[in-house]
Amino acid sequence: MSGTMSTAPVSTPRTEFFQRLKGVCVPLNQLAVRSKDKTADAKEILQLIESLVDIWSTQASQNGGILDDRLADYVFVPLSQLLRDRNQYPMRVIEGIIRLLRELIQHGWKVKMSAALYRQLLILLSFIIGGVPGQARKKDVPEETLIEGFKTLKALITSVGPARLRRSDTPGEDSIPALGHSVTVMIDAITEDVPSLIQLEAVACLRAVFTSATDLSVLAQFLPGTVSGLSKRLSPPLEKQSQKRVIVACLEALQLVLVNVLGDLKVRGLLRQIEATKELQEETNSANDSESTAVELTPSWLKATAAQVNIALSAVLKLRSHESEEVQHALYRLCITLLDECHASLVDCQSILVETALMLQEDEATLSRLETSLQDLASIYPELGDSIKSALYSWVTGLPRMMQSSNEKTKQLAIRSILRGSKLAAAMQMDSSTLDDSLADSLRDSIITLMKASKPPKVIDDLGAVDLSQSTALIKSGNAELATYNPVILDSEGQKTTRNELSSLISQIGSPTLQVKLATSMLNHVLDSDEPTTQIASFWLAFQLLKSTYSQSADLDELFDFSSLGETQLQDQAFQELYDFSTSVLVSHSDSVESPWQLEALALEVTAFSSTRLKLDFRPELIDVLYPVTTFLGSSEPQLRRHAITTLNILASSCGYDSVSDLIVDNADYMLNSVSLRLNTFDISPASTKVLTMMIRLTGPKLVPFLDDTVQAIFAALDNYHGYPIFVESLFSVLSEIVTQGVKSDMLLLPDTTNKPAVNHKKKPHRPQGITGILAKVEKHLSRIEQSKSEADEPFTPHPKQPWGPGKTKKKQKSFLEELEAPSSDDDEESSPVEKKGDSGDKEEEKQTPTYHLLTKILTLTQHYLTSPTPTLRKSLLDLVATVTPALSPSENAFLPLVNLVWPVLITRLHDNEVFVAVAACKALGELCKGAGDFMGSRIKTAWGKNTRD
Amino acid sequence: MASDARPPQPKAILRGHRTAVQVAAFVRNNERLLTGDSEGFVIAWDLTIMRPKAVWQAHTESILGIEGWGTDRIITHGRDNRLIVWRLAAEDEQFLSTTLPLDPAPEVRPWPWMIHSLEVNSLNFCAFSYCPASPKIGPVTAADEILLAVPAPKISSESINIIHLPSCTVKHTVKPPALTSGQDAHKASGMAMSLSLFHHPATHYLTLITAYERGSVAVVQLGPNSSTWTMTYVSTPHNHPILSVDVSPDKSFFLSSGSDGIIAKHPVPPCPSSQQPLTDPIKVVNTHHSGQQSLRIRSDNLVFATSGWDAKIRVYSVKTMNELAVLRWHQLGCYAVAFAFVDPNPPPVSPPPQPEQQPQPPKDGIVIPEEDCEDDSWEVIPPAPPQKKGEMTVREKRIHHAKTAHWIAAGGKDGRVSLWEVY
Repeated sequence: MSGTMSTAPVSTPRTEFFQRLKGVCVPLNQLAVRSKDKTADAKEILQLIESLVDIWSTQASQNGGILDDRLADYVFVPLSQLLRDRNQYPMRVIEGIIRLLRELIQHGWKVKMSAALYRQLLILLSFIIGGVPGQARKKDVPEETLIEGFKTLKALITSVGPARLRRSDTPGEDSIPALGHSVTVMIDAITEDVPSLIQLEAVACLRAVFTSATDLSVLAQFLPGTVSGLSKRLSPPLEKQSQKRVIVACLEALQLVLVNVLGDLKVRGLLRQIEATKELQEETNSANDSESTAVELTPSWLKATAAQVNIALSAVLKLRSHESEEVQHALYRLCITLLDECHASLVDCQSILVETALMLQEDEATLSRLETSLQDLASIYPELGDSIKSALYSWVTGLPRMMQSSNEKTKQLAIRSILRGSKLAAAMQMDSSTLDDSLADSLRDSIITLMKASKPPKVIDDLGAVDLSQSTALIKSGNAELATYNPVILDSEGQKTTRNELSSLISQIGSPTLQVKLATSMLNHVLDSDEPTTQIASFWLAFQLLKSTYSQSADLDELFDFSSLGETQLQDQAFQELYDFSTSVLVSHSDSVESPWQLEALALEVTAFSSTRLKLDFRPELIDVLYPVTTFLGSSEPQLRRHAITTLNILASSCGYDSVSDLIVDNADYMLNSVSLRLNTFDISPASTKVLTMMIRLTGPKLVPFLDDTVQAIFAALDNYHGYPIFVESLFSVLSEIVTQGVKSDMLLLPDTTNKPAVNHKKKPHRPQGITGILAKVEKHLSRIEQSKSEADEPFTPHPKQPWGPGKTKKKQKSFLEELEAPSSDDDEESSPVEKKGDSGDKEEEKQTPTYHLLTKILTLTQHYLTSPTPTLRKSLLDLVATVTPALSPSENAFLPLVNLVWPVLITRLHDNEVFVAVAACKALGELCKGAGDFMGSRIKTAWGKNTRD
Repeated sequence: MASDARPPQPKAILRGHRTAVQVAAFVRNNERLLTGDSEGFVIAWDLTIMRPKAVWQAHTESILGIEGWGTDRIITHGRDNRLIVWRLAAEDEQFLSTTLPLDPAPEVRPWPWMIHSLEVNSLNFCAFSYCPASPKIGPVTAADEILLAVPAPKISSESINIIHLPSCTVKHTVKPPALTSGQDAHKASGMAMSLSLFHHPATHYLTLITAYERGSVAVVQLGPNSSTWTMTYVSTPHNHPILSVDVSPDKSFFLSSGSDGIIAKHPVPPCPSSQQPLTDPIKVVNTHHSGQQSLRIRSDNLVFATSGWDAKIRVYSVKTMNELAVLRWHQLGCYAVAFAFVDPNPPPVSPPPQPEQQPQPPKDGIVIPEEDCEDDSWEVIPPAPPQKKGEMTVREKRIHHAKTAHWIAAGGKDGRVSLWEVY
């Protein structure tokens, strides 16, 4: 008694607590025992249970020390009563009991729980959660109850020491079968279609089992079901419906399960045996067969298990294409851990684990230093290197096939894995020459596959046709949005990520040396191949590879590395080849040879890239490329037009010009050369005439004198393309542009004409001669009579025996000398037959500028086309006449014959069927009259008479 | 380059002369193409960029002859009766105008530095010819003394003055050949039309080839220590004035073309013999294309070209004298033609001469001459051996190409210079 007395003050809080418990437990017990109508009392019971939970948990959080197994036992008394009739109570009561049980387990019994109670509770909980085996479940168990059940189950499993989870031979003591049933319940919850919260609890429970139990044979017994259950949840079709946190939890559980059961440390004895078996095969085999218990931990068991795990893993590892990063990370950890911990036991799974780990490997930046990485593992286990290499090889060779997949994600993952793998290989300095060889072809084939698969995208032609004749079109184009290219291949929005992945693979793969090597081999494909897609793919690839080598070498520029001198040489050589090919593509375009637009677009990009590298040194290259690039502005392919504008912008800025128009004006001579050489071979497209027109407009009058032979070529083309009105019209648009610019020239005639009195063609009124006039006339008449008289007196001379003028043979010789003496006058005579006006004209014509010649030539030509069937052409020609007339009229001797030539065709245009043509004819006529004045008098008169008669 | 499918096309057209292009020459290692026109303008083109580097009016009248002297001197001969030696090194070009004569904007163009200016006769359109004053191996440099052959300033300018530079003194006056053969005795040979002056490589005899208005050519030679000129060859293969002669790089023969269609190949005797002068040309071909005004043999002695009044440039094989190609671009008559210097002994790495695609491909015409051509008085020194391909930047490559391409430049009445790359 004294003992109790003395302890009384100490146990006061416990006693108090006990009193409080008692206050609840007694009525609860009475209710439980006496209650007739369970459902009616359920509310009250629930209240009591809840207050018990409250009391217990409050005490646990405030002063848990006083709680012990006896108190728990005390509380359990009414609970056991209740549980006996549990089927009669609503689930809410059961749920409360379960919650209370958890409190009791965690804070009351703890490890001191008796084996019987433990087993009992296990069975109870399992039955509540999973129902009694062999019976249909009576009522639906609410989610909350299930969650509470799993929580309590977990508490139960973790509460007891590992000793309890051991196989025991004493009958009735063995709780393993009960635990086995619990595990089944957990696995069912995992595999069944239940809310994810429940699944999470079930997984946690499962983990508790595998953490708490240390008896390998017990765990080995649970392993097959657990692994298959988890992998069922983790592989299709269930994995699709699962929440990612469930997947992550399952993966972690799987990792724990496998490591705890099959970890190298756990099974090292068996492994040793296997090693031994290899040496003495038969003896051990027979020895193993003799043992017989529930699960035999034998080498053959290990082998069989590993094989099963392999199958399960290969299903689970498909999760690598899961879009969630957390899942991927968990999977990666799983792979790495298994590779590390189960290196020997799961040796068969090594290759798929390595492959998956490679795929999921994250960037170094995000990778924590503390975590083991694949690279670390590979340095520990050298044989992993081979796995890495073979995985890489099979990816590389399989890449084209992957690209056929309709799933963009799959493609991206495949590309990314190759990149990661090859990075790892590079970091580990693996020799991968065979890999490199297959890489190039594989990449190219992949691109081909992608290109073939992608449908020609709908192009939104927001740019519209570039109006070349508008110089503003180019000035406007200086804005930044056109400074970058649209992708040429894989251009659809859906392929964007794939394209980016591919680009990053190309730019990061291997060393620059390797890239140059790959690019060179690609170039050979470009040159050899006839198949357009192959050509485009190879070309693109070569360009991308070289571009990345240049960007890398730019980074390394500061480092003096003389050993790589040869490399830069190869690099430059390869790029030169690429550029040469591009130039030939561009040039052959303007030769109107059909080639796929992507190829041309790439060629434009290469050209622009080359210019950005060479800067001002690129200027001489403009001789060859500027004109072809410009003609793409008139391409029928909208992408090409856009590309051309971008290229011109880049060229202009690389070559140090302020704008594209500066570029064109400054290199007009090169462009002119290209155009005229092509015109000469009648290799002209409407685009080239547009380019020419634009160039003339931009450059202005100062270009006109240089156009002499070009105009000749246009004339020749006009003769040849007589029957193509549209083409003729475009040629004439060039001519009228020349005229428009030519008349602007202030140097049309040499300045001395300004000193001369302006020619006044105004018709002068008839003035009477007066007396003096009559006298002069008489005088003249008289002198004429006198002269004829004197001539009659002259002696007779025979008619000349030789023809007048120099003889034929003589003339030849003389003409040679003459020609040398006065080459320029001769020049005038022949080059412009119109002006062959006789002796008086020679002097003056010599002073005419080349521009003047050109304009007269063009005007002369118009007469032949004024009868063209195209009304718009007729109109533009008439406008041309009107424009050119004021410029030509000052030189009377040249102008009046022209008027004479043009007159007959011009006057008939007044009766043109199209009114606007007739109006233009009137205007032209008006200009002619202004220029020629009285020269037109009689012509107008005749025409007028005819018109009024009609 | 000529192709099977279509006729050859020019590589580029150089537009710039307002009047007819009279002469053309490659100078300074093919770095520049000089062209001269009827107004006396000279343009130095850089073929790397196809643009002028220097433009000036060398003469007030038409230019008759233009040649480089070493790497930095240029001799021009104009119809204004003057012969001028200019200094035009690469560094001088920056002070000169590049505004083309065709450009309408008037501009005062500075002249390059004038080293010599001589009053010479130019009545008969006969251009000068020059060679080093003493027999010399290798190219002429600016430091060398030279001898210039020009028609003597007389009305009947049949004799030739040989002037020494830098002293500017007349060293020799060579009389026209007294044609003793009976039927021509009463006729004078007419005015000199074209000249070629050189030292014979074997005997070092100073040799002067003169072509005359009446269609005859004569070779006179002067021994190293002698003061009398001896006629060693005279012939009249042409019926009409001879327009141009050019001597082969190895000086073993020379070609003449005239206003008739004849092209004749003549021997160059190594030294006077005791006998009568030779009178028979090696070969006379009637091409039926009259008026091939300028004739040039390429430095590798494989092909020669003529520019015709019919506006066509014709390329012939030296060996067979067959027509290999007709280069057609000009619309009006052509006056001038020039070959870029082509290394007669190309290094083995460079590609062999392109086989020609013309109707008559005389394969035997493309034969590397075995003779050593070192004592060549061609105005350019052979270009430096080309660098290895990989070492060249794009720019260097372009320059290299411009210097080593087998250019033919032709100019004519239209004032355009067409640039071809053939054979």
